[in-house]
Amino acid sequence: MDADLSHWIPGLFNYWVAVTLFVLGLVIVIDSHNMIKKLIGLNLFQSAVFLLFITMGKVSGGHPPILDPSIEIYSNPLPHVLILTAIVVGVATTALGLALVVRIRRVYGTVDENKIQHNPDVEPEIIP
Amino acid sequence: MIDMINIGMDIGLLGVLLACALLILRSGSLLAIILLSAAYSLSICALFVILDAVDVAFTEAAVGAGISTVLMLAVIRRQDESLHAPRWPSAISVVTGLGLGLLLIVGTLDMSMYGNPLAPVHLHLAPRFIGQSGAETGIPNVVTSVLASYRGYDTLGEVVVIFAAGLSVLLLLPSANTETGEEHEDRQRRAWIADNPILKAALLRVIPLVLLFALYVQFHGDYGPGGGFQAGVIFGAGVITFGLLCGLGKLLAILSERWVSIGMAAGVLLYAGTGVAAMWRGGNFLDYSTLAETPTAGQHTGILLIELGVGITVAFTMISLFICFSRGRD
Amino acid sequence: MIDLLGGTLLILGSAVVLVGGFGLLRLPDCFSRLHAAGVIDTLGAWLVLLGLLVLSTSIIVAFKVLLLIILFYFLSPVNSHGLSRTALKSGLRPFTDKPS
Repeated sequence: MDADLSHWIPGLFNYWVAVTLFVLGLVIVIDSHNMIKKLIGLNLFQSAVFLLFITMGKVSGGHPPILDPSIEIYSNPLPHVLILTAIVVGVATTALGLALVVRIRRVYGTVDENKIQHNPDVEPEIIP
Repeated sequence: MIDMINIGMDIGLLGVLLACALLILRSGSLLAIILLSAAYSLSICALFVILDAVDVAFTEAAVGAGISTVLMLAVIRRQDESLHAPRWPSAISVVTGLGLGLLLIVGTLDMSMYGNPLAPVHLHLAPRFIGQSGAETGIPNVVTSVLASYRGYDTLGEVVVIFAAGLSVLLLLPSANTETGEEHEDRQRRAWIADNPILKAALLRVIPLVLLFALYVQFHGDYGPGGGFQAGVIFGAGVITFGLLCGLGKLLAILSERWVSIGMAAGVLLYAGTGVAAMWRGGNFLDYSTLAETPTAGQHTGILLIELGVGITVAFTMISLFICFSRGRD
Repeated sequence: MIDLLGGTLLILGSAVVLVGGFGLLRLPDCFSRLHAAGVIDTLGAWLVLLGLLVLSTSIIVAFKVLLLIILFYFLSPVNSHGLSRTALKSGLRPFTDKPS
């Protein structure tokens, strides 16, 4: 491990931003009482992981991994494959979460967790 | 020089991402949060292009800025519940966040530097794929050949996950709860998008181009950025635009829910069927080499077929999600 | 020569985008901000795309950029129109000097 701190600053900056985004997503998930905002926090969380993976795949001076005889250095295609499918799966699972939110709103009339948990006046009205 | 420009753009875009995330944290309006997350998606997609992940950027642009924004807006369309965002994060989230963040940053100190070509992640599988996939599958886009051929089992799993998520949304929001025709007419009249003749005239002419572009992305995915996932999302976005412009009723008159469900299943079946066909011809499951005379031609055929399966499932799942979210009465 | 022309177009386009960005931040209400956004969407985007068209190396890339220019030509005015009409219908009134 290199002890020179100045060497790390450009080299690890992307990872640190990914970590910050990760933490911000987590804070949004913990702090917000609105379930839709929570879902967006989860999306943020997820995209921080995407950023981490794609950064790992980058090679200096590399090109996108589409083979061409005139190009010699390519970036690593494996993280791209993983993240590409993860993005589409991510939107499908977000949609599932949103569907649950819609059902909760039909029963309780709100998507605010505090109102659902702490208000005894809100009687669940079951709609099939 | 080029590297310096790239790093500069990289840092600038990361700043935009951080700003969007902070604004999302502080914002008190759901509408603003959804639009900010669309802006976040667009910036991260530009960042992916700089990091050479063109296929990923393509997907993120169509999914993050397009489909998921529409889905979120469809959920909040009735009331923009204002939420009182806390001025400062609570103690528990600060402690958890700082602790986790510090641990992760300590972890990154052991990682390879940005763009280091000798990082362990580049030394094992990647040279094999970059060096030999061209000869083995006859496809220049390494992402497509890895996704569809070398990691075909994984991709089958992902497609099944998308199919299952679409199915679950269908089960959670069944058509029994849809509004009556009158209620729908009423909402259409109140919707501002529907009575804007200029928007309608212009966008209705663009939709065929969008669908054509989706087909280009689908079948050109072997040679450039693109493939089934992107094409499916773009096709779905075209159909969703039609639904937004002309109303759900017109969309369902053209494409009934029954056909959407059949389409969702058909893509997965085409994918798995290609695998079974490979077994039928004497190979392993999803080993396309047996599908044609030479292994390379077989790989190419197999990849085309399963990408088509992916595209069909993704497109119809996106359409089905849109139908489910935009019809329910709240 | 071609490089010089393309580079000039790119820089001009970026300058227009920058001006539009300032306008977006500084102008007082939704409608005037839409004007600034329209400047970015039309002139700024066209100049950048024209620069890319001049600099493109293969005919297929040039064709794609040309398609983009045509699409921008039709869609960005429609976009601004849709936004401003919706803003007007949802109750926003243009900002004027006169007290209303």
